[in-house]
Amino acid sequence: MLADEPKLHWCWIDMRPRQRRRVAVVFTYAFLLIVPIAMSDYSSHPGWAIAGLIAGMETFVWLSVMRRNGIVKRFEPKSSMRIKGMGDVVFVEGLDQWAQYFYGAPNFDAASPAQQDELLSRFKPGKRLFPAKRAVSDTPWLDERELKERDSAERWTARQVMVVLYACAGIYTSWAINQRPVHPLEVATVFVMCGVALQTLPRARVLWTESDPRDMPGELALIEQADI
Amino acid sequence: MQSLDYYINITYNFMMLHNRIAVLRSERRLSRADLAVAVGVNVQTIGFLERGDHSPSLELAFRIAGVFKLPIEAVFSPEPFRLLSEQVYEMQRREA
Repeated sequence: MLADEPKLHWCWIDMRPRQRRRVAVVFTYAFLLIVPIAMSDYSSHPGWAIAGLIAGMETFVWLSVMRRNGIVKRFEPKSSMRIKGMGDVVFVEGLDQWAQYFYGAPNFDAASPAQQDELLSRFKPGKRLFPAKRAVSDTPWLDERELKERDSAERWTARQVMVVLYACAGIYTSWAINQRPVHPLEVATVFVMCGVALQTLPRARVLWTESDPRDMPGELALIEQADI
Repeated sequence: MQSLDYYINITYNFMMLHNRIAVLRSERRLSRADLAVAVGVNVQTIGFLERGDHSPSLELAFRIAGVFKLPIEAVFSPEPFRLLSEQVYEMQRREA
């Protein structure tokens, strides 16, 4: 579920070792908890307060290890676009994507020499639009292991968010019993936090659990070091 | 009455499918990426299979066995494989 090797870097830090990913996840969530506390300015206009909170948290998620299409692969394949008169189209850019589109090869180097020659003769630089239906790829975006992992991460996330929502329901009920007033923005902040959790927890779980892609069992590491 | 270890072993063995992918891949001088392309999965999944962290579907197991041109039971087994060196040594002793 982790991205391909070249993408496994964040701020020039090699994120292949699981320990580093775990530290990054802990720091990210620590910061994500600080953001709403720091930005809880209930004196300003409620609309601006919540918009600012959402913008702040989304920006931080985008900069963090849990960004979409970052260290963790996208959970769904790149979707095609529909243009009137052209049907479904996809953008194809660079030799690697051309090789993937025309021959289903993971990148240009993986294509056969004949395919590489053909590609080089047809290749045009820049972002090009091609019909989506012609795109062929033998390798699905997520294979059976990744689909299993994605489903498991999403189920786990749903359970965690459910527990948080039940806990919040309990807290607010006790406040109602004790006649403690609840500021509507507090409730809104909880919903924003749940939204961020739904978005980031599946990726956090992948980062936390998935082992180092270089790991090999025992003596098999010796085989890998052999001249292949 | 069987010991607890017996049941743990049975359960563990049912869950885990042993394989010889790394050895076969090395023997044929295939990289993980080559094998991944040949069977239509992502490279990291080959690593998961080799480490025994993922049990493949029947379809994927057949595809992998097909790449190595071997029967499926030569690549996957519910019980740990014996070391190839041991087997070769035994064969040589029998032949001698």
